[in-house]
Amino acid sequence: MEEQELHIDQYLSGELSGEKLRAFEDRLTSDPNFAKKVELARQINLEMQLHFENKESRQELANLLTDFGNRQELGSQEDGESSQKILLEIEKPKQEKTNQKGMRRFLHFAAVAACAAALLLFFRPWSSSLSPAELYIEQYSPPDWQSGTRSGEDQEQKLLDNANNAFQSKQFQKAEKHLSKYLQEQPEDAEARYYRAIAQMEQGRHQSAISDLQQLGNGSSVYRNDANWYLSLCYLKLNKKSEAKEVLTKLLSSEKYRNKEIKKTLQHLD
Amino acid sequence: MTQEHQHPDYKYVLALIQNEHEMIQEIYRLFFPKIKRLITRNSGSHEDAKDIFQEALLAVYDQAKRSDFRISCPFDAYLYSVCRNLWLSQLRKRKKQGVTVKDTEQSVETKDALILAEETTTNQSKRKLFIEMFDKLGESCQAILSRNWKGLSIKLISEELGISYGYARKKKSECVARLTQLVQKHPEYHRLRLT
Repeated sequence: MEEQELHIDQYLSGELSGEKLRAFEDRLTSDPNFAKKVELARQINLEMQLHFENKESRQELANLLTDFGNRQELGSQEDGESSQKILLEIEKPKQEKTNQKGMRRFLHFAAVAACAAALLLFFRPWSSSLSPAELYIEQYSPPDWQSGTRSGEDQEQKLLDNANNAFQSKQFQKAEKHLSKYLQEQPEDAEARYYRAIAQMEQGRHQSAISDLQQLGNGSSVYRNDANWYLSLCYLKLNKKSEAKEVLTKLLSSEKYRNKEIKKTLQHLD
Repeated sequence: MTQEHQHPDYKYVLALIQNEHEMIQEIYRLFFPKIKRLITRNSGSHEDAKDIFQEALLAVYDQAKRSDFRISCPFDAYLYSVCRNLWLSQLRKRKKQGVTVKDTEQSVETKDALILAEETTTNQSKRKLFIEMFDKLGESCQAILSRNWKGLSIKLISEELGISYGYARKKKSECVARLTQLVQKHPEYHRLRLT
C-alpha cells in the first residue's frame, strides 16, 4: 500500500521510469478505480499548487474587494442606487513585478531538477528508526478544546470563552493571550493552563510550553497524563531525547495511558 | 496564453491579477449595479449581492491563474454568468428546493460565457472542497504538503523540518493519499463528478 502511494506520487512528479513506469501505466488502463484515484490526486496537486502559489496575492485582492464592497454599502446607504457614483480614494498599487519571481522560480526548479537524479541515487525509502523531529511529526496532534459551561465571574468567564473561540478557530496567539490573563486571576485552573501550553506548542514555542506542562504533569488534575504526553513531545521537538525518554518511561510505568504510542516512541529512542 | 488570443475585455481580468486599484474600481462601477439587480430581484439582499460579486471576482482571478485560461467573450457576460451560478448554488444551500434564477438582463449571456462560467464555478467548488479536506489533515501533513505546493523541494522541506529526505518523501505520498481518500468520501465528490 505504501509503495503504491509512493508510486502514484512519483508518477505525478514525473519521477517514475523504466519497468516501474510501464507497470504503473498498465495498471492505469486495466484498473478503473486505480485510474480514478490517480486522476483525483493529480487534480488535488494542481489545484492546491495554484492555491498555495497565489495565496498571498489572492488575499491582497480579497482585502481590496472587501474594501470596495464596503464602500458600495456606504454609497447605497447614502443614495439608493448611487453605487455607480461613489468616489473612491485610491492608493496606487504597489506592483510587484513577477519577472524576478518567475526567474527565481525557474532557477529553483532547475536546481531541484539537477539535484533530483543525484538524490534518487541516495534515496532510501525510509529508515526504520525515526529521529526525534520525525517522531514528533508522527505523534503530535493537538487536542480539541470543546466549549463547555463553566461557573465563574462574568469577566473571567468571558476571557475563557474568548480563549476557547480563538483556540477553536486556530488563532493560538490570541487564545494564549486570553488564557494568560485568565490565569492571573485563576492560577489553579488546570484546563486553562493545559490549553495555554497547547496554544504555545501550536505557535512553535515549545520551550515556553514546558513549564506549564511540567507543573500539570507533577500535579493531580485530570490533565496530568495528557500534560506529560505533550511534555515528552516538546522534548522531542527540541531534540532532548533523554528528557523525553524519562517522561515517557514514567508515564508508561504508572498509567494505562497511550501505551501503544508510548512504547512505539520509546523503541525509536532506544 | 498571450494577450493577443484574448478578448479585449481581458484588461479587466488582468486588473484583478495585477491588483490594479483604478481598474477594479471601474469593474465595480460598470458591473456591480447589474449584479445587484440580479441578486435583489431573486430573493437576495444588497449584502448578498456584495458577497456574490466579490466571490465571483475571486473565482475569475483563480480561473485566470490557470495556464490555459482564455476569455473569448465580453467580461460583462462572463461575470454575470459566474454570479448567476454562484447565487443559484447559494440558494440551493439555503434549501430552497427547485430554485431558479430569473435573468434581469437581456441577451447578456453568450454560449462562450456560459461555458467559461461553468468551468470557473466548478473549479471553485472543487478547490473549496480540497481546501476543506486539507484542513482536516494533521499538522505534519499540512506542513509538508503546503511547503511542497508552494514550490519547495522535498530536500528543502526535510531540511526545514529537521527530518530525513526519505521520511519526508514517504510522508508526503501518505498525506496526498490521505487527502485523496477524504475527498472521495465527501458527498460533494460525487456531485462534482471529479473523476
